[in-house]
Amino acid sequence: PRADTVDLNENDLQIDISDALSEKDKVKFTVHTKTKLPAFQESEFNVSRQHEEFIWLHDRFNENEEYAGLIIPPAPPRPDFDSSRAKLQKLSDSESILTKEEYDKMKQELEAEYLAMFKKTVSMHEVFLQRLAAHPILRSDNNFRVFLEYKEDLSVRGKNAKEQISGFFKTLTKTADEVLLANQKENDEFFERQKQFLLTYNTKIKDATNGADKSTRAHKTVADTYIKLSSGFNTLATSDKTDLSRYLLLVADFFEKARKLESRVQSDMDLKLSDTLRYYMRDSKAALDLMYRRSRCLADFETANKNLDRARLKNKEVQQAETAQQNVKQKFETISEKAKDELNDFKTRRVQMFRKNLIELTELQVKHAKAQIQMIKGVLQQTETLS
Amino acid sequence: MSNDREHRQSPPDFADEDTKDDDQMFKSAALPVTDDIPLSGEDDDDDNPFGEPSVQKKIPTYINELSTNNETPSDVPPVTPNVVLEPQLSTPVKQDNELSSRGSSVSSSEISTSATQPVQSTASLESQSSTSAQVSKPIASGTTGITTNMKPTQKRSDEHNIEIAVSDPTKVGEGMSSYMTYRITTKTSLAMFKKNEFSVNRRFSDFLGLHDKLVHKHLPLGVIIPSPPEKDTLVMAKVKISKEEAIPTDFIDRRRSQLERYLNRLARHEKLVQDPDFREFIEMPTELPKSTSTQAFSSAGVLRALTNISQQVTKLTTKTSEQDQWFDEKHTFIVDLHTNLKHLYNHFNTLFNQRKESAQALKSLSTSLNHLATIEEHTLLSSALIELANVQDKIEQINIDHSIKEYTIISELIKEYISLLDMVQLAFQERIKIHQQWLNAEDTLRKKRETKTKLEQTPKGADKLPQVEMEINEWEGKVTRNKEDFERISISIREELDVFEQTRIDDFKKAIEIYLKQLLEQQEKILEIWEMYLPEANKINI
Repeated sequence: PRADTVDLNENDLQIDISDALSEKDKVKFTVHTKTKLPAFQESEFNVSRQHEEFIWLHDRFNENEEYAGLIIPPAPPRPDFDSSRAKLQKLSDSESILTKEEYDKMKQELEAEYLAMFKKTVSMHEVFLQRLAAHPILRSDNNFRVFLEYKEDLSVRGKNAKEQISGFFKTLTKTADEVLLANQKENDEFFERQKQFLLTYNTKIKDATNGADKSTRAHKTVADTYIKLSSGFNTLATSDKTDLSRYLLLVADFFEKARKLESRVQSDMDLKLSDTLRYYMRDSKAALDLMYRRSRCLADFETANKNLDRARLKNKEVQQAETAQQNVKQKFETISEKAKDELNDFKTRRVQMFRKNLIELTELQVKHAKAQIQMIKGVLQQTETLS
Repeated sequence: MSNDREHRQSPPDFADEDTKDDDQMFKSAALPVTDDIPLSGEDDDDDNPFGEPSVQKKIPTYINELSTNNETPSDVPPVTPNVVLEPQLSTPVKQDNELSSRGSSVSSSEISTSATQPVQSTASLESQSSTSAQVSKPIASGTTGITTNMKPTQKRSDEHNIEIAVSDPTKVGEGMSSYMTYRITTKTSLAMFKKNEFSVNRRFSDFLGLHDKLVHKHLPLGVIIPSPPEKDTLVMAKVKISKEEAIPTDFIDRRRSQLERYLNRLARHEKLVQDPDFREFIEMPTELPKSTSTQAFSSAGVLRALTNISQQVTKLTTKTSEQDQWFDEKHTFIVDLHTNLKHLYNHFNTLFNQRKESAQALKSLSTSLNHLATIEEHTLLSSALIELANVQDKIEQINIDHSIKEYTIISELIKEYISLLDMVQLAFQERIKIHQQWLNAEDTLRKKRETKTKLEQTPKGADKLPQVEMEINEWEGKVTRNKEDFERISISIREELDVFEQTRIDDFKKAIEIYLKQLLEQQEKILEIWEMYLPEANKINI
């Protein structure tokens, strides 16, 4: 159930992250591969990889001209436990002002949150690899093979100064490309449509992702307050020597149970909706990257055409110009052809994933609502037996 | 006379009734008695969790079911020696069904307190005579169209012989001199009123004036007097200067609902319902003279009044009588309860604000999903996204409704009890004041007697003797009266507390029940919404 978007190509290359270790600042993923492909030395093996190595791999794909016409699967986001750690810290700071019961519950909550985030980052790294494995062209990449089977560390240390600057320039070029993309005259109707679509889609889905995140956060906050309410009613119950005490205990119990259920509601919204939106935000950006690359190639193509015309006019270095133009033309046509497939595939993948996750989301929410109803009925029944 | 010493050490004992109080005597260990919680400090905006005027115009008046809970078995009139209730309440109200319940509840309730004998006879009298002595829990119908389908069990409904509704808040005048008036509609079968149904208009300061008068009259008698909602000069200034459309309706409607609960609590109190000022308040159609002393018992005032109680309580507790022990334990319980309720109230306020934020987030999400849907090229997916946006909208609405109801059912009730507990503490303090008076009177008497003895020993002093003897008589009288006052207030407080406790139990039980049912409703609606969405999601086809 972890390979949401990926069509595993039968059994000839299966990848999963079988284990992950969280160590202070870094996470060590155990990448487990099972393969029948001859290119690999063994048929089943494990390596330990860190996040930076995944990024390295992604960069290798991105920079490879061979893959210019393909959508490169988006890199997984960096594991970020800072906010979780900060919350845990805040909790231990306020340990003295909370009752033991409250403190324990909140700690439990935070630990569960941490665990959930951990699972998520594992999943995202896994999906990245699985998409690569499923892609007919990308799976054969040499760097990919090295990533999967090379036992040692890939020595992908943090970018040094020079690399950082070159990275900076790359971003600049990218931004210039974006302008290029926006302004470029596009004769091909398909690509023009795709361009417009992707530009807007990316923006809108970014908004939706943020909206979903905000909503789940707010929901979580409410669920956490239930801890205080449960505790408050418990306190009232213990100091009340009348009949009312048992009612108050029921209410305290209700808030505790409700909290758990509300947490699940929120968590499933997060997993099924927010994460889907987030993934396609990134994937649509990867598609836009493809469009940029094509744009650049098109611009190069147009330049080559102009050069050829000029050369012919002057009758100087015509052969050179012809060759250059031919090359660019070839490149452009290849990219365009592949891109068409990739973009259609993108649509199919997207629709499939949304469908799957929306259905799962709904089924889960139905389940939770039913559970809540059962629970409340149970409490109501208990109040009736009391009176 | 010879009992001076005894009196100083312990107020007279009320022997046997204490056994019935077992349930209510407990050792509250948690907080020291002196723990006065500043009423203003902690509260995050406790008067104004609603903030600015929102779209919500009316707040459903679920409160009525709660404050007007008619399952109060122990609403037997505590009989104080002088007050004779029966003659006034002559109307035989339909008593059939409740009587059985009333009867059984009478026996089970803690009708402790002093006058066990008279209470028993009254109890039997109760079961025969009209139930009008029980100024029961009216269900005042609110002004909104909320179906009060949460009516308490049918048995009790006939018991209502007075119901008060507060409606139609109207702004009179303009600018800073303007004020709000409310329509007070009473439906009653009590004979002391001229008609069965009548309406008057009152302004907020009239309520405060009424409270002031009631306190002055009844507090020394140890009555626990419900208090009206507080003055809120800041928000009211906004109301006064705002134009018609911009009046913060949330605040006004909340105030209206609180005033309604207040009046019904008064009407429920069998001593206070007969108070002429109260009756005039709800009955007299003409405008009341403007109250000047509307300081009344603002929370700050109550707090100030209460700060001394701790030291005085310790004075009393050096004695070992059972009576004092009872009062001491009760007092500790009251203070603890007060603190705990305040904490809980604050948490509910926090929750309210968080729910509001959560609702806003849902709304944003819904909007962004709609936008995404418009760009999504796959038509079926696009429709599914639009439907999902609708789901979020509907859930947002349900959550807002729930949040408001939660506030009305639980938060407002807790708040009411917080101020009621203030009034309880005030009553306790009155008792201590009176005890002090008594002690002082005895002191003075003793001194006078010493003076007399001295004078008797000197030849010259003989002519001053008559004077001193007259004073001695005077002070003997005072001592007796003070002693009686003290006894009376002690009895009264015990009775009042019993009623209070029973009411508290009933109010909260009822509120919990209604709240749970409301929660159930909410979840059922949510379930329905998601179930309706499932086919939509399934429609997505490649």
